[in-house]
Amino acid sequence: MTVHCCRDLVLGGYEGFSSGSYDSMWALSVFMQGVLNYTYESSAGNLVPPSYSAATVSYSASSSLVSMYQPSCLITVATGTILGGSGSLPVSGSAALVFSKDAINLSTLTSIACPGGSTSTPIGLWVAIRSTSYPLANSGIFLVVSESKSANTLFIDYRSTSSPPLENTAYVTASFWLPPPGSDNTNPARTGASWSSFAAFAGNGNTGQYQTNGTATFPRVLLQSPDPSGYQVRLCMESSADCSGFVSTGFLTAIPGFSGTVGDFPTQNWASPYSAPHLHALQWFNKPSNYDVSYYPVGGSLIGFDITQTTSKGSSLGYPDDAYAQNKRFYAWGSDQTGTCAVFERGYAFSYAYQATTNDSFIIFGLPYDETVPLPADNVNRLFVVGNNKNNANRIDWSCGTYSTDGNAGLAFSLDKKQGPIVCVMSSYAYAAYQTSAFGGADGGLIFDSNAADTPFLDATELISVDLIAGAYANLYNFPDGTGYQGFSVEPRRLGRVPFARQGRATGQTNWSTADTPMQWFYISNGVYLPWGGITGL
Amino acid sequence: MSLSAQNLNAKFLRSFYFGGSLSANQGVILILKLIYEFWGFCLNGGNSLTQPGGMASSQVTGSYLSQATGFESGSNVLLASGSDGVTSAGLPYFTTVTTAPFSTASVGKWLVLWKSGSTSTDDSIYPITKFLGSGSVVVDPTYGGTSVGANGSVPQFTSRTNINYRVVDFYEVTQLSGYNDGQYMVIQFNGASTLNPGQAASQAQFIYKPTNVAGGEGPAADFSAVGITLSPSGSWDGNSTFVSESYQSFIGDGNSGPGSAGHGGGDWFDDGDATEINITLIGGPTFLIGQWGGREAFGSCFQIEIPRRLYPQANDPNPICGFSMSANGIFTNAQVGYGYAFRWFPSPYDSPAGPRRWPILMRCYTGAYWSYFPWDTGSVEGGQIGVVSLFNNPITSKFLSTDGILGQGGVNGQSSVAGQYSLCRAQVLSTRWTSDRFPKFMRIGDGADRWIHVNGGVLWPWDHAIVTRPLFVGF
Repeated sequence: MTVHCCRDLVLGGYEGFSSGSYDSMWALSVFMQGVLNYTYESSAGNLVPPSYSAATVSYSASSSLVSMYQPSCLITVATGTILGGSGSLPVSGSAALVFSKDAINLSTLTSIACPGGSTSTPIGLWVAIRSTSYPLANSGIFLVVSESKSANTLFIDYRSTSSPPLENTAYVTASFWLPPPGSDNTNPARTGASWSSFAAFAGNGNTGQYQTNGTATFPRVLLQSPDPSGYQVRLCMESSADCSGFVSTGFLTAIPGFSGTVGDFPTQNWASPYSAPHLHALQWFNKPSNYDVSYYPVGGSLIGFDITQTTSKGSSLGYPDDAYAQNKRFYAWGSDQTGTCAVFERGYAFSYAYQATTNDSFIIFGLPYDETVPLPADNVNRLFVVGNNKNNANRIDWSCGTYSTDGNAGLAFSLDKKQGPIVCVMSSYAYAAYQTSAFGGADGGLIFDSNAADTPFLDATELISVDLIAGAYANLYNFPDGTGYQGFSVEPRRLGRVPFARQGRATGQTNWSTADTPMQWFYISNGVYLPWGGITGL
Repeated sequence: MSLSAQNLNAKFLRSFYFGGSLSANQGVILILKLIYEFWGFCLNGGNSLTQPGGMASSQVTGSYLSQATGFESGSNVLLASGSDGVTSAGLPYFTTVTTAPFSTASVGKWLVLWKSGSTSTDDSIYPITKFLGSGSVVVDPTYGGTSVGANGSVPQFTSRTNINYRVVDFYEVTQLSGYNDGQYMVIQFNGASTLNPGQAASQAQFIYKPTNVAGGEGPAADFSAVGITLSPSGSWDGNSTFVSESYQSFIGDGNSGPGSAGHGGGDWFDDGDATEINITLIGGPTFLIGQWGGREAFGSCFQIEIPRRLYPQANDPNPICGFSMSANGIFTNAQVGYGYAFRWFPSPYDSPAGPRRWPILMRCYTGAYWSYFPWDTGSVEGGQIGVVSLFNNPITSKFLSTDGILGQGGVNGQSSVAGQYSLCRAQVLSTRWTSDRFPKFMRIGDGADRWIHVNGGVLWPWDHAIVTRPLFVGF
């Protein structure tokens, strides 16, 4: 299995114009399709991210994108001048994509329209690259920052000060994508498409029910994984009613399942017990987050990105409202064979107000590593999603439990099909004895020991796996106290291991940096490590 | 890292009952003699009827044992022996083909059975309950035996021939003169390399030690606080020391945390009395567990094992760990790195000389730490994991239990030290953990992966056997 990494894609443009979760949804959609071999199934709502099957995406009167699906190119070290400097997002490191002219002839290309309105340059576009030779270094989504038509070459913001591993004898796969509206970094005046030209998103108005489906205009997209099981992943910005009481409007979920159409998974049909094989609890129960939280809560079961921007200016997050917002830095890992994906985001300390370095968030979904065998008869019982279920948790760590206690949680699917989604937890090795607090507290786990360092046995940092346990407790709102809170079926079983990520010491490491000399691992925070491609991180 | 269950090839001495009245000193002598017979013959015996296997031998110029004269095979202790024993499936009889070892006086003595190289759980120690003839007695097969039947719960003999046997009087062992503080027995884990390739035959020494009293050790004549010294490289010289190793011995902890020795200052018996005791030994090629308790309501245990090595062989060639508890019940007392949730684990990086306490880390089904709220059930083992539902899947009818790994860091009563950190050095195999709310003695698992709930969430290897004698007394 090839694991690809998308490294440090900057979301939001000049002065941080960004729509938060919408930009994240856009980037994830591009990563899944352009790198992980997902295919477009369907979508709903307004302003859904682009897809191959809808290769021409119009979001303003003058802009369009001609499909350039899977052209091939070589990757070399960039030379010459690249765009950067005042008025633009900083560019650090670059690589040159030299295209085969039978795939793209830049000198004759006139049909690309970038967000700035130009009709002759691809500058400002995103290019998604899938490299099989250096999937952790050269794969990902990159911003086109300059070009050399004579050399049929584009220069990309490589997001590393290292030179790229050269791929100058074998072509890699690339695809071009519009960046999300408002993310034009080429023009300080932000002449890209204006959010103000779009209507605010709305739910379907079905009071007391799940509202981000059907006629809702909140954007949703269903993507088909490359896995033989054929599972789908639904990306969705959740409506106000569905987020109420728990997370902010526009909370971005990425939930796997089956049987989705027109951008939505089905709700449970009680007359047909297996009518809704997916992990989206609100959609399955057809209830909003704040439904009967005292006894049968589904609150806390929206598993997604915590992308609340506490310093945002303007109206609520998630709407196309021209709000000032933070830039984000988007990292993702995924398999182009199973479609399993892990996304980590961080705030971006840029030079403008309304930006912060906080609000780190994550989500992981798809199929576990090292699945427990024999496999369940039904593939939906293999799926999982874990991530944030709380705004402003601002934590990427291994704690995983409920909305009230952790802000990180997960979902899987019951072996009893009538029961639907159930809790899923990232299960670490923890002290057998009593602990009163989450990671990092006075009773923090062994990875937080004050003398945690390379073990003398190995002169290296130990990285261990974390299991996925489904159905261990009854809800994602709070741990049960025996008086209620029975949201989900309790039926504990081990699914497998958390893919990609490993657990290691949290002491003595610098967040969001390469963790070792050969740069094979990237340290995010609180003992979370991801594989890295041997190049510097920014 | 997915750490699967290991076939431990366990054998059992199930609740060996001794109805007499013994002093605490005599009690520990009895336990060491049982270890000698069970470990030396039932688990590691060859075809010698007097030379036990599994005793320190790799660097020995003297002896693996220092005990009173006659401890091993004195005429009052070893009453008879032979290699022509026969048992038949489902029958409680032990017969011999040619030898005539039995008399009416054999009733009340014990029969030690084994076959060289066998993995049969028939290899154990049995009380002789009835004399039938000079070559035939009735024994109680539930002391060992093999669990058969529809429910796999009734320990019985299987059909075997050419069984080696020793007829032993365990009471007479305790009555020998010449026992003293400092005497010892050093066992050797010849099976270590079957688990961890290349591992030396690590050793463990049981040594009589005075109980701790205020201001230091008590009188040497009171030596019922048995110390255990671990030797990773297996370097007992046969006389007085482990060569090139200086790990300290440890005695039984109490239940109040580090620094709190157990009954009477580490005494394996409470109130200096070992009357009417039940002793259980569970052992395999890589581990040995002992547990006992009696009329005086004490309970103690020890556990020594070769854990599964998680580092490369060159980096950690010879892991061995253990602990000893002289405390009633299963306790962690809410302390990390204590009770049944830690091991003494020698490390080449111990400074000052170890071993140090290595906390056991378990798979946590509530995430990365055991949540406070619903598990605050008191001083129980397993992270106060009192919620049954966490460990029982009613749809699959399966129980969950977690393995444990050993790491090194700061624990209650023991600060972490720079340069000694370890996150996952080894995996404990002879114990698993589940909810403490499950009934005591509940048996879970399938095939070779079968366990019994000792109490407090602690699982030990078992084979689904049911015994009618008191089991795990004092726990």
